[in-house]
Amino acid sequence: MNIIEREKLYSLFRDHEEALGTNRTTITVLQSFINAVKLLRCKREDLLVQYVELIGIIKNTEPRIVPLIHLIEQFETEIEVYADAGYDEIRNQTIRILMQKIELFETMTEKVILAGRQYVMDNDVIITHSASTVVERILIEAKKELGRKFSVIVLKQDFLKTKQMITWLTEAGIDHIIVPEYSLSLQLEKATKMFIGAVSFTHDKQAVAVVGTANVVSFCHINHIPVYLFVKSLKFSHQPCTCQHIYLKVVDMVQDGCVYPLTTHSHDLIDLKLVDHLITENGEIEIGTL
Amino acid sequence: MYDVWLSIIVFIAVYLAITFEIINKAVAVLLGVMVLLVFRVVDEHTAIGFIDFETIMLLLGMMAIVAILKKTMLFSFMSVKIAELTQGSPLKILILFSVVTAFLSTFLNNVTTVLIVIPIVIQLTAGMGLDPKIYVISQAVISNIGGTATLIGDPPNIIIGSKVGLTFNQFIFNLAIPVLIAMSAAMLFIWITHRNQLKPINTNLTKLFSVQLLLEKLRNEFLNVKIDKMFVCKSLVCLAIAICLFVTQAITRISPGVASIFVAMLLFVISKIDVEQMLEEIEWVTLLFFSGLFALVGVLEEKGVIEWLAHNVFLRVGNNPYLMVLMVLWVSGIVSGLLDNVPFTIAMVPIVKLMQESNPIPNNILWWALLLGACFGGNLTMLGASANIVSVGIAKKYKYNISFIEFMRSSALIALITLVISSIYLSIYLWMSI
Repeated sequence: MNIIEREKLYSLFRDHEEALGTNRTTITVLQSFINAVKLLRCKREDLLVQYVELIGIIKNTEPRIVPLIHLIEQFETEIEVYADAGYDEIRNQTIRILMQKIELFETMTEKVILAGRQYVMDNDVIITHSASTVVERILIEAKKELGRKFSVIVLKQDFLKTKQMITWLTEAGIDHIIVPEYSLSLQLEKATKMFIGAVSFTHDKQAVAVVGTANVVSFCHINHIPVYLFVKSLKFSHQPCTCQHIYLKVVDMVQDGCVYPLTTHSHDLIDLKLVDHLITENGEIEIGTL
Repeated sequence: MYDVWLSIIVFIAVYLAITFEIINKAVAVLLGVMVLLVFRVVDEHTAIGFIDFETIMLLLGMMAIVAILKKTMLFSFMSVKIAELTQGSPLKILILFSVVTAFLSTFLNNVTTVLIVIPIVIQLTAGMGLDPKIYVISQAVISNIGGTATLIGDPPNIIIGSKVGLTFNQFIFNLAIPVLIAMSAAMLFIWITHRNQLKPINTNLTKLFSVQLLLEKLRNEFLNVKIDKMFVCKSLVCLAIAICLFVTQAITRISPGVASIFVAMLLFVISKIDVEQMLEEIEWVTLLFFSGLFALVGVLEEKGVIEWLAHNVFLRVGNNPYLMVLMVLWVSGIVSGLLDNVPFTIAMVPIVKLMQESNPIPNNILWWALLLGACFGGNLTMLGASANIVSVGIAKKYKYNISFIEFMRSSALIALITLVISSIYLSIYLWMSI
């Protein structure tokens, strides 16, 4: 695969990440791996070489999808046992192992949701920023399973994401209002908590999250609104934030006759000092102990 | 004599303005009509009398039906399902999407068809590392070929069908065979000339993986809307009623224009859709363009220009029916490839009528020659059909620039092949009819 094709593939990962969030992207990637293996017709000697190429791509996306990398690393270790097996055996084992990884990931997600929903209390007014599967499910289950009475402030960012949030909040019958990101100051009196998810959690205590999250988290932190971060331990990276491959894009913009290069990054970095509660599948973790 | 020359000059000026997109096509024709009215070449009542309201009604009705059908998202759903079926095989993408494009263009207009299909094809092929250009060109070409088969598939069909009184069934019975052969030949040609790019990808895991990710993206992008099944059912039932009315035209005596507007209004009522929003979807510019063109050609006809052209150009070939048919086919094919085929068809209708009166040719073969020429000839260049221009525009939006020459390199030979197929078909048909 040449550099251009590789860039296209990375851009596809980013599109998924932006539209679906890390959780669903991880499952989609694993499922796509399984489907691709089912359709593959190649020589036995090429099979493992092709695995190495694809795994290399998955591990080096921009930004890195840490839970996916952990699951793929586990897959690499487990499939090594079958390195000398026949073509069909390797394929069957690949499918079996990857299915197991999806199940493991889903189980962990369920556990985070189960732990997270306890943090929703009656009369809470919760700020949410971006569509995160975990935050979405926590709020829905708190409403439906625990019968909590609370409301949500959705900070409007790009329309697609906001639309997704409006759709699921409406379907779940959760009271909500939508305000622009820049108007948060006027909602601070009402707000009691902020809930966020993250792509990964780095070795130097930074969370990689959807662009725009850092500003809002800082603002909430300064104003003593507790910030809750919900992540699976699979999202913990062994590397610092500089190794997360956050995608940098410079686009020439033309507005009102003014041409200027606009530099953007695909994700934000949030210092964990700004986060008050870190909840994983094992419950709340004391940030200072990390 | 002054009247005659002015009407010719105005017509040529308008034709050039439309072809080279100097000004908006509706403005160009209406300005032309206004010049003729101001200089009293024709009066307004006569000019309005030239407008063929059957054609306008059929266009208006079908535009309304298509606008509602588009809102159902059914066609996007269908295209994504087809993308899933291809599983990223380049050859399957070419064949299955061509079949879908041809099918859709038989009852939607070609521009609507390419607007639905091409964004999906570009995303799929570009994401797989294939060159989307050939797929874009092939879908544009196939939409022009597929649209030839029915009364409502292409503007020249609507014009000829309405003006001459040809029925929906006559179109299908007479054109299905050449259209199917032409479509197969076009696909074969594309396969032969691009077979290196159409090799299977199932030996490459990374490419297969990319396709799976792409399919998921397409599902999210195009199917992430709730489809109102009731709305879809109502729309499909109404489309079926419209087609039934077209097919049974000989029995019901309901003209296609009346049938389409009746069904469109019925659909507006039963779907409880926002009518004002739907009316905005109708291409009023096209309707004004057609009305103005009818008036311009009507003046030429009244002033005897059309009769002069028929006698001094088209009837010069003599009484040989084969020569007459082939001349109409090739002249319309070449002119439609270089200039807009709508004004050409409107101008040719009275000429072919005169030819038919002076040397009757059975089974409307002369009309089929005009139609096949006007539709297939549209593939000769990028300017030959609206679907070509729109397809190139969509590709540009995705940062794939297709030049005039690049388009012509693939499409012109297909146009010539399909015109040769039409020549053989029409010659055999004529031989069997005489």
